[in-house]
Amino acid sequence: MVRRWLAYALALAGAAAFRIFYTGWLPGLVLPAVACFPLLGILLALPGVLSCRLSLSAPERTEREGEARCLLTVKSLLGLPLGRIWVTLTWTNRMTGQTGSARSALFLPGQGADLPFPVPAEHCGLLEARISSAWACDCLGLFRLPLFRGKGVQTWVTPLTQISDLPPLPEQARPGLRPRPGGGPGEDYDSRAYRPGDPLNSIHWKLSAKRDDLVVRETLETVHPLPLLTFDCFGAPAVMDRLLDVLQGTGKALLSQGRPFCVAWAEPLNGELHRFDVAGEQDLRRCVEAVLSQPCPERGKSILDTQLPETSFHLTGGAAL
Amino acid sequence: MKKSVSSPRRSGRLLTFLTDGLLLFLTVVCVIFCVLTVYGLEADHRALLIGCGAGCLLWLSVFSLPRFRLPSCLLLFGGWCWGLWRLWEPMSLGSAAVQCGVVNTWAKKLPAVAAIAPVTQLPEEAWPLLTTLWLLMAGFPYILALAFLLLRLRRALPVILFTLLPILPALCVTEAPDALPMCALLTVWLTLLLTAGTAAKDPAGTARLRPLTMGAVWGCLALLFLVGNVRVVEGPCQPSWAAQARADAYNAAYRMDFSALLSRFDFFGWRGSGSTQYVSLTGGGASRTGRIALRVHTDEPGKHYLRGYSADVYTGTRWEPLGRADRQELTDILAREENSPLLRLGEAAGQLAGYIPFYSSHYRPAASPEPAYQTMTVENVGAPGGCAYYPYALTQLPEGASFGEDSHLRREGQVWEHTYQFLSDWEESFLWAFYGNRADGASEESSELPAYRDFVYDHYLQVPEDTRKILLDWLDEHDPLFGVRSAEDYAKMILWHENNSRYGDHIVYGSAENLREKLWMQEDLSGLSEAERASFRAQFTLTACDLLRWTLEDDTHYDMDTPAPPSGEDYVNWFLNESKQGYCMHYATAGALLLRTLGVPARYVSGYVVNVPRSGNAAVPDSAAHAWVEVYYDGVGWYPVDFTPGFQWDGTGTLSASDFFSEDAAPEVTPTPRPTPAVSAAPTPSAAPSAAPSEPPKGPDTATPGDGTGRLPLWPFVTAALLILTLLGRYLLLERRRKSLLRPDTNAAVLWAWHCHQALIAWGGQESEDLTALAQKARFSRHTLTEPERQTALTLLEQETRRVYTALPGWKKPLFRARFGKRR
Repeated sequence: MVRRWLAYALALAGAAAFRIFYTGWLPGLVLPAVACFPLLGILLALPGVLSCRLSLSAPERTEREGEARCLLTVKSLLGLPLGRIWVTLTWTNRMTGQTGSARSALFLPGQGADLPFPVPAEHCGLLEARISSAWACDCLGLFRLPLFRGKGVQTWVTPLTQISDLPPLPEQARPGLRPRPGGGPGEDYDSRAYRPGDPLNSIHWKLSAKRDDLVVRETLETVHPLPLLTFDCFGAPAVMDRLLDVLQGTGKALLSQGRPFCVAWAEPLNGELHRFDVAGEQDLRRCVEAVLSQPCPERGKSILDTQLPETSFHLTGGAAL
Repeated sequence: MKKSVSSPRRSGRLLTFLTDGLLLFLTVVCVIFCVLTVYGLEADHRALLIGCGAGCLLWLSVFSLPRFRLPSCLLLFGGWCWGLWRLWEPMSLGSAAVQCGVVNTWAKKLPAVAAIAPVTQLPEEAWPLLTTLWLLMAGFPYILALAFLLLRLRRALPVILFTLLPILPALCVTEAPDALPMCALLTVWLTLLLTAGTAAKDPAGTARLRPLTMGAVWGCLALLFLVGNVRVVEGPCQPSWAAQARADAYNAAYRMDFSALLSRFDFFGWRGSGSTQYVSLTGGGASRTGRIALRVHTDEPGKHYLRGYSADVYTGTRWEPLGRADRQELTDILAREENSPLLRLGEAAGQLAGYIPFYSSHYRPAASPEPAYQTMTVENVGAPGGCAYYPYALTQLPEGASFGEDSHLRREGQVWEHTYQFLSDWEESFLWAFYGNRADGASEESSELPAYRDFVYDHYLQVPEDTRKILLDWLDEHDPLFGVRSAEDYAKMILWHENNSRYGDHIVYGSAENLREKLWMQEDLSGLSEAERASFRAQFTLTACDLLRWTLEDDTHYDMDTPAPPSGEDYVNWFLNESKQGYCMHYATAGALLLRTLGVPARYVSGYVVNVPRSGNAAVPDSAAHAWVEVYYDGVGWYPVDFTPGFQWDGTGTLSASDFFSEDAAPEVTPTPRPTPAVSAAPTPSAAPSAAPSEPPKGPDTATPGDGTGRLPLWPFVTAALLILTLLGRYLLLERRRKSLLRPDTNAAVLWAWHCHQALIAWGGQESEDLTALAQKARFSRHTLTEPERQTALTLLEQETRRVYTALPGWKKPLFRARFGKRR
């Protein structure tokens, strides 16, 4: 654009020199025409600019260390070409907080054009991409005119797909009992004091009469305790990448053996616990996506600071504790 | 589904075809009609329109063909050649008509170009038909080239330059086409520029944009016509700011002394108005714009000659200063002389009784009447800036000026305003001193510089031998001096008259038939003293000046529009024997050379003539530039003489012979009048033609070399055109090279890289084995080279180019860049 301005300045100076050194009538028309030329360039570019539409698309998920390729589609509703379009794409990794942008220029033919934007996917996380600026130049290439920018897109950068070897999980605890939700018939019962709202048919009248207080009979069911995988949701992006690789690999290994498990981590900022029971691939994916969409700072509160059951297993980006 | 996809494409192609065709037709018609109107050609407009339409349609169809374009072009071109062969004779006549139109357009603005007319006698109505035929035949290949640029290359700049070319010669001489075709051509240019960014990449999309653009540009131009009040008029049409800027630009250029530089190298015979060291005589009149060259303020109203440079050596085509060795000799002489004019001028500042007519004179009449000193301030606004412009009879060297090798006062630093002290009545003092001293034969007041005098007689009598013969022939033919060819002859004739005249007092020239018999040649001069000889020399100088001036005035006529002499022709010979018309440069040159031929040291001087009004302030326009002659008087110095009719010194002018030979003022000459009837009542020289011209020159009383109407010099436009063509050629060359290196065919690209590499060898490049191997593979192998191999070849070429560029000396680098582009 600087070169074009220089060329225009040269042309204007030439027209002025023509006006000065040429005594006929012609420069009287040429000089104002050259002076008005930029305005004409803008006016003629406006239909093309106003009818230009930009849309961005991206794949739903991309594996880490791959390339998330966003595709910019530019169309002209009137079929008018535009000499040059500059588009700046900005992306943010919600997990690592890393941001970046890419600028590209293209010529827009009347029938439209596609422009791929490679977005780096070196770290896991939720990548959000949007067009931060879009400009088109006028017919002379002297001015930049803004374009409608369209909506942003997002893509998951997932951990590497691999099934890790199972870590040495602690021995599984003996099965326990717990009240069955909704009650119902059962072999094992437990009694407890009546709480308003308990159904009348759950009252153990005999015992209540003996204790002179309302006692409720609660049906229990056998519960087999799940292995709990814990991790700290903070650290360097590379550490988090490895951690998520391990989490996903371990999860897949457990699922491949038909062993459901729990995943728990603490919110790095306020220590709030998050827990996911994973019984299948869908659960595992939702769990990983929950981690990917959560900001992971360099430092934060560890889940180890809370009281964990003995069956828990703590994962790290390096070795397991 | 298939149909719905192909339909828009087909409609897009059709729209492109129509838009391209419209633009091509409009461009061709605009160019043709611009050519018609600007060169004043008459033609059959209807036939031209139909012919242009047919030609455009033909070439458009050819260029729209998906294949067989080249054979079609060749076929059509062959047909055109056949038509040309068949129509050669009428084509030649049409060509003559067009040539006459072009030349006559130039002749309207350039006095050096004469108007012409076709030799062949044909009925009036035949010429438009022949012109139409020529335009159509010449337009056929023109449309081909234009269609190629417009439809294939789709580049705006080449098209603009190509359409500008036919009218460029007229634009160079400030002739413009009619408003309508010119506006239409402007519309085409602006449309091309506005769609230049998309035309080559997306012809279909651009085809949608172009009609909109053309409409908008038309509207814009119409609006400019209305709002901007653009008046289409013949002749100069400039707003005041532009005229002022033009004058300022010229002034700045002149003050930077480009004119001196240009005149030195005789650039296209260019000569600025004013004074320069080198005076080209080959061009026409000097360029004049009516701008202000000098501003003068003095309390002494009247006519003043402001001297610039004097030129010393005549070459036949120009005046030049003395050579380097001669200048050094002069410097040595002045340094040796105690009474150097340089020193004397400095002394004179403190002596009111003494004065110097101008700086190189050393005459100072100690007993002269009390002189009247005046001051004059001269500001150089836009005169050639190498020298200071000063009046005659300076008494001191002004601040900001120094002596410049006997030819001028050199302006120092950035001093543009000088204040001079001069004598207002110096001519009278000169006369008085001349008579007073010479009449008594007294030479004690003369402060002669013998060495300088010898130098003057050595160098200021030089005339090329051929020119001398021409001048002697002219003198023999016109014989203004009645057979006198030197001061000795003059002395003999005077003495003979003294001894033989029976009528005493007067020497009567005009009626002395017996003078031509040269009876006086037997007179013996051995008895004359040196002072008497000097006196005769001075009288002879004055007499020769007057008589030559009168003869020139009788034999030639003053014409400010005199064209330049033909190439190779001796300037003064052409003036005296062929054209017999001229302006101040002709008269000054002829006068100086004739005087030299007669043994009188003389030189050519240029400067300005200003007529200061009573207010004392005068703005000297560049049209007041003038040329005159300085003659050397022994013991006095250089003295100005104006040979141009109508420009003789009046008030502050040169001496005339009549001043010397009047009854009161020639005491030493007391011839006895003869009783011949021819002499008795004949008019004496004092009654001879006065200094005032019988027929005043055209224009103002101050004229300039080759005065004419204000016009621009041609050379800037020619230079600009050459520059544009050079840049265009370079651009196309580099673009071709770039495309060849990046073409899809990798083998051909590598071969081209190898060719480019070979071209570097002439600039000091070295053979590259790797590149040669790649080229051999590309040339002789059946394999197609891969993209990395092409990149390798390009890298090798780039490295070698960079290496060669780095190793080149500084002066070669621009040439290298012009040939190979940037360092890659």
